Amino acid sequence: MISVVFLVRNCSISLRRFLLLADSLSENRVNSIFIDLFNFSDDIHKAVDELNIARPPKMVSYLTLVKETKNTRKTSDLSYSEVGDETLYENQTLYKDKVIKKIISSGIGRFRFSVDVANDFFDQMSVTGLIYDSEVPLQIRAFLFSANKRNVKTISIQHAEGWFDQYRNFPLLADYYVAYGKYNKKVLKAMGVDSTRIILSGSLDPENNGENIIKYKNLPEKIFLSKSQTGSKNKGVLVALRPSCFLEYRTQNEELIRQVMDVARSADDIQVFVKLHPRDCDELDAWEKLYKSKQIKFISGTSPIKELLRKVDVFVTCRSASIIDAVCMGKKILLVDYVEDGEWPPWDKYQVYLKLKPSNVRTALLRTLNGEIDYHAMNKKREEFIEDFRLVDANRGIKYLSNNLLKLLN
Amino acid sequence: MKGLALKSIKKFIYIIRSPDDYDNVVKIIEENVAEKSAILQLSYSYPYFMDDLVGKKYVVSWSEMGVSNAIIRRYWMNNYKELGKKIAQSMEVSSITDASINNDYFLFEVVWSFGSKYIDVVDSIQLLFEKNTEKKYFIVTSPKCQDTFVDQVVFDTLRYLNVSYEVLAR
Repeated sequence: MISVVFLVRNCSISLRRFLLLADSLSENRVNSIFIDLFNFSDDIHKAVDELNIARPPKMVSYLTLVKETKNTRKTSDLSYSEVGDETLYENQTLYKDKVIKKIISSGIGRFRFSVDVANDFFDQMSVTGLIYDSEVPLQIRAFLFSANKRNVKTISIQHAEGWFDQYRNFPLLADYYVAYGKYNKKVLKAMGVDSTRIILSGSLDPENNGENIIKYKNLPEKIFLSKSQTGSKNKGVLVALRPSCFLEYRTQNEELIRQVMDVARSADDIQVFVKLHPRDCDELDAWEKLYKSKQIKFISGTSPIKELLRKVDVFVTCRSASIIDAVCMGKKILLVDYVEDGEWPPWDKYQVYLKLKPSNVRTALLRTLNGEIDYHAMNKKREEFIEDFRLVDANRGIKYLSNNLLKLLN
Repeated sequence: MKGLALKSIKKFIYIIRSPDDYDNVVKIIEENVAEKSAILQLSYSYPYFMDDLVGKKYVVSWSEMGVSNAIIRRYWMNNYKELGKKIAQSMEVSSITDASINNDYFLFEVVWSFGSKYIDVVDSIQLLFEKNTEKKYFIVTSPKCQDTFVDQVVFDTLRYLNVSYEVLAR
């Protein structure tokens, strides 16, 4: 029996796709093991429940692997006392060289320890493939390194539909890459990945390809006001926040909510839904305490955004992969253009949303709700946008990817 | 904007490494020059420049102090190739030929550490003092992690900038 390992680094959309893929692989007698790198077991179990996964994968905690590792190598934190030399600092080149050398020497211990953990795991399990969505965490790179030495095939699955341009400079560490759409395949090829190593999977969200619609048992439907409760004039506005764990984003999130709520308070028929970023798993209570109004409802970061988009007319967001969902669903999109947003795909050229400065959200939202902005004019390149960024294809998707992986792993 | 509005120049900036240090620092502030004091939080782990305590008395956000985008600069990510080349050369000079570390998997770790724990920290601390040009700053950091890399980088940068600082003994 083939065994495949999935490295789970957070509870974002990748977890859902990993679970669906593992479920599909299990139909072909592939055994999936989820290594929970950062203690997300509760979120993984919750996602298993929400997706109605009939054959949940085996869960392994990384902490347990660390505890059980046979190697007694000690990890060293970066201890830098010897670098602290004010005369040396005057010479920036020398200082930087010394800093780099210190980082190298202390990093060696941590890297080797992480490789030992991965080696011990592979020694005990017969694994054919390793699936991950970001090479940034040390633990993932250590597993990739170990897998590479053992001929375990490594497969990188794009972790969000829009977030690839930032990775253009990174080294290529996987044997195979999964691209959801044509644009991402183009980026991978430009990075030097041979076409034979790229699987163009199409969207991995089954509902996009006409596969079985997943019913989310735990989606908080009760938060939405029914038409009978609200009347036909009810207007729904969904605001998707940036990760509030980051310095600047929290302030920007607060300012965004303030402007949207200014508009909401001006009329009784506006309902605002604020979806937290998937990274902010534990923040729901804190936000709810900050804003006490019947007109605003906060939604967990792990709730599927597509379900929320279906309930609203207007979507206010920054650059994020959820733009693609909103464009596909024909929503009126207000994209808040934060200047520091690094590299993103060239979505602007398709003109499928209203791009605005952060300070203009209040005015633009009011004009949108009053029907003063012509959103039909933004539909000209919609089909082209969808073709490039979300390959909706009944012949592709989770099952297609699962079948392709089977061929690679056999 | 939550927190203390910076209408006056702050001469005393307390950089605390843990929320546990907050109460002690407030006590010190109130025994001294409260109206010219501000507290900033530099957490133990990446992304370091946190604003979790904003809303509490004397606590200000990094952006209020002129250090904008501290965490989302991602210098290491945007300059990966250039940094990687420099570090690879440094490894070569150090005669690191062991294949278990002379590879892209480990190099990635060094580039990430150098960019996020050194370049971004130095840039942000320098920006803090460029934007707050009044001299005679008196910096007090909490002691819990004074031997860590990030602490040392902060101290060295302060010395380089000729800023007086003191490490608060717990």
